[in-house]
Amino acid sequence: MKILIADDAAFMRMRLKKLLEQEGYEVVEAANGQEAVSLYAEHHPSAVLMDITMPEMDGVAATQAICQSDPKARVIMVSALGQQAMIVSAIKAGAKDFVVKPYEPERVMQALSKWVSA
Amino acid sequence: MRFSDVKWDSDEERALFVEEAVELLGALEEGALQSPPPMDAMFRAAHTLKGSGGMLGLTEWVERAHRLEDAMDRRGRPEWEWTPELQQLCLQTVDALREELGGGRGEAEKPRQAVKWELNWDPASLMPGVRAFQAFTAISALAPGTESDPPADALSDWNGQVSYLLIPAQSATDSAIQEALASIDDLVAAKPMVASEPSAPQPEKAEGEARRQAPQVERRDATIRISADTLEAILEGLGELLLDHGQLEHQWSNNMDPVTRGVLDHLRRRALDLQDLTLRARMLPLDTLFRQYPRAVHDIAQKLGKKIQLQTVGGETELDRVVMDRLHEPLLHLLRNSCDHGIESLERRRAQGKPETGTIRLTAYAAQGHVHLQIADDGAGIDWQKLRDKAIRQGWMSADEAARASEDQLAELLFRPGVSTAEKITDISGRGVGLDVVHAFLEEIHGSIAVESQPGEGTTFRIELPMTMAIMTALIVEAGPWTVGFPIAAVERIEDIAQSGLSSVLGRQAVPDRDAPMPVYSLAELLDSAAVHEDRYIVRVKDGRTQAALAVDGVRGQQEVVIKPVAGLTGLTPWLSGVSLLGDGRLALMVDARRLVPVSVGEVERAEDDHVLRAGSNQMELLVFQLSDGQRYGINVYKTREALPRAVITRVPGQHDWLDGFLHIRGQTIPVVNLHRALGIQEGDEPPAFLLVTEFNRTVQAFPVDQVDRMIRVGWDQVEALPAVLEAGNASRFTGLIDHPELGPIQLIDFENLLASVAPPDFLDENQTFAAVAEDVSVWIADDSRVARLQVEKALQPMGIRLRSFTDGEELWSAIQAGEPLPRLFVVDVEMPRLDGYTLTARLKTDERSKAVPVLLHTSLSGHWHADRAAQVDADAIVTKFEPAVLAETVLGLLRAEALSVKN
Repeated sequence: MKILIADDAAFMRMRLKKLLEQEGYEVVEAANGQEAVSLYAEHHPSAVLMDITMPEMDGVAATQAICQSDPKARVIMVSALGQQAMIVSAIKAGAKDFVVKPYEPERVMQALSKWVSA
Repeated sequence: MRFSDVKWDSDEERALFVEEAVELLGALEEGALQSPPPMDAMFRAAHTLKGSGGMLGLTEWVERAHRLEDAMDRRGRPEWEWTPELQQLCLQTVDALREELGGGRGEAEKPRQAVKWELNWDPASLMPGVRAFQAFTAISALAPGTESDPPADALSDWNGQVSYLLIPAQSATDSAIQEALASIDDLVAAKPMVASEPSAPQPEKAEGEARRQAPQVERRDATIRISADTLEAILEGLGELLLDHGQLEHQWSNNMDPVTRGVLDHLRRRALDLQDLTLRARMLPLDTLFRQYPRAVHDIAQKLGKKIQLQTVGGETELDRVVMDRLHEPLLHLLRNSCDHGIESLERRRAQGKPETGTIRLTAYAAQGHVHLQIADDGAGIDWQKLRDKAIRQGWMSADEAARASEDQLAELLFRPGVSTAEKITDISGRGVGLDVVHAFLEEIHGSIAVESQPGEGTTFRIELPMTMAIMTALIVEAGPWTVGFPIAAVERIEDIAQSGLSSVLGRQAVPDRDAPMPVYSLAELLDSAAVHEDRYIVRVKDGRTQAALAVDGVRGQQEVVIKPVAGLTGLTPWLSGVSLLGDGRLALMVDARRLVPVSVGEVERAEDDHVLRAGSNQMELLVFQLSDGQRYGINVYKTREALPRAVITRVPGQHDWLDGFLHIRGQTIPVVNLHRALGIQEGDEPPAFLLVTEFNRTVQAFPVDQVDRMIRVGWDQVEALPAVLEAGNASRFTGLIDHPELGPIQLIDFENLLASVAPPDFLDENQTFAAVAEDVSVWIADDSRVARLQVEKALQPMGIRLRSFTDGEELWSAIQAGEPLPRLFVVDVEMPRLDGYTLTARLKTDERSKAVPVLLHTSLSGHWHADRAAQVDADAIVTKFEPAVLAETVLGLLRAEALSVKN
């Protein structure tokens, strides 16, 4: 199963990737929102883990673009505390769930399995 | 006409009507169900309903209300009885009127039948609001029309544990809802609520009944009006609760188990939260007050035959109702005053080329626990001369004092009873009452007022008010037999007296502070000079412009206190803002530092620094001292750090002839420069009694002096430059002379020059080369110190800069006024006779011709207050003397920036 990770921090991507690969997922990486949108169109991953603050296009805009092209997209926001309003916009745009940074690995897996297995 | 047909002027009007009607209907209904019913109140409710309905022309409404009123009107008669029929009539009327109100909401708004779901969130959830929004989104997809409580758009800021969803009935099955909610994290439980009212008489009909009882009130906007007294009582109760908490804590402080501690802490937090909420409930936007002023000003203006418009800004600023209630009169006084004395007549405004319509701006904003108000008019400004005359006539000042009084000293007179600068008394104001009333009011609530005025441009009154009056966090200290509290906002620092650097300055205790030594007062002595005390700590307080260090016996810590005003004592003890009962049952005196710290000459001047000695006021403060020749000499107070009694000076072999040696003080080694030798004065038989420690040119040095006189404020225009003959000789050690009316002649020593002789400043490193400015660039420099001018020249000439020197601000300003071709840059010293650097800069920056030319302030004064003042006058750069490299670099930067902007 393919998961798209969109985060501008390479370190965050690396950690997430390791985590996901351990669980048997296949990972596609995007370093900004723009990239996430095009990679989504290319790979049609089962879910997207989307950071909010990113260059080029932020996570909310990317979520909007992805959910517009694919209303069934499963986008899960990964955000820091204090970004409540951004997450709310993302949910309005079609995001399904969110995880708050910093997170326990299980939290991400929990959120992911809820949406991916469904 | 029906309620739904009413044309409303505003939503507000409609809301108000509905709110009130709902309240009255509720009262009727509730009353009808009591026994015996409160007939008088019910009658009044019916009467009011009829009256308000009549205003709107609601025919059926009025008829119903009238019938009910009529039925109750006979209540006083002996044969009258409260019958079930009457009760029925009452309830039916209530229902019918509610129905009509509900009908007015329009189809779309009509509340549909909805099932309310309660969602419980995990207390550990990081963003319960977003989770609730997620739930709202999920259910909305399932059941369109679902509403959230709190409202969806408020959820991103919501932090609670229970939220609600109003899901349209029959739009989704419970299990579908449960399923949709299952995927949401942090949701502990979700269940539909059974809409039942415990007091509902017939439980089986409860749901229908409940809906009928309050269909018009939107749940989330429900407002209740509550009397101020009730709020007061709640606050009082909470205060007591906190006291009880304090007592418990005090009792058990030594052996408290963690569980009790946890519960107590929780209790306290909750009580504080509630207190906060209650206080906030008492806050009202100033608009409630401001709203009435445009009309009032209009009326006043009409009476005066003037045209005046009032602009209000910041009406959303909130203020404690208790303060606001009492603010109305004083504010109206000030507005009247501005209309009457501030704004000129139509003819006069026309003659002066001002717009006929005068403007008064009423501005409010909150900062640092205070609400600030400004009333600014664009009128004639205060006639200082007239005020001076008045002060002399009233015997408040001698002619001499009046002539020398600063504008701020004069402005203070405005608030005395019986002052008015108006030529004739009008019925609007001008009887000399008003401003003193305003002042008294502000004193009472521990606010303050200040006035600023520019002739021909207008007058601004600045008011500072405490935001709330009841509760504050206080620092509790012990002073002698007393327990005293200060608002924590006013406390800057607490330190052990042994580590505070306490020393004696000008014969008084002081501790070092950023700009200048800060006087230290023993708090116990301030309260009662005979008090027995042992000062162990220094508490530095800063409140508004008052700054002082208070020595106290002990520090008890920080506490929330409820302040109770002390009736009738304010006159005797103006510094006492109230008393508070502490946890251990002791009474703490709550102190207003601004009224406690003694007012002495130096204090007043320092306290009003930022105000009076504003940059551009062309004034300075001078510390006057004497040498063995009995003559008086002066040094800018801002160059001084402290004056010490004679101290041990260590001599060093091979030192400069003028050096007495070095002084070790608080870990610092300071050179001591002998002024007698430097100035060529015969040394006295006795060694000088004081050491003046100074800081300028980025270094600290001490000068022994024989006597320290006092601080005086002088205008730079009183400073006479020295005759050019003296200036030419290298021997000149003075920058100017002042003939003080009381002290006689005071000579201003060129301390920078002196210092340069002892420790020559570093000049530019030969290796450090600055690109020569390509063209022949002209730079003007104004500096009264020959050495300084020389230093600047040395630093700048290698860069190909053509310098023209002026010996003071006035000389440079004359050249500007004479229309001479402008240079590309001004380098301006701060301290100069006749016209100081701040004032010169302010003038240069407001002059049409010169304002584009960058100004570099070059000063030996350091410290943040100077930076503040420099910023006030829009200097383009500030360089501290004497750092040639920095100066050269800054000059280069300014010239480049200027060249760029010219090209563009």
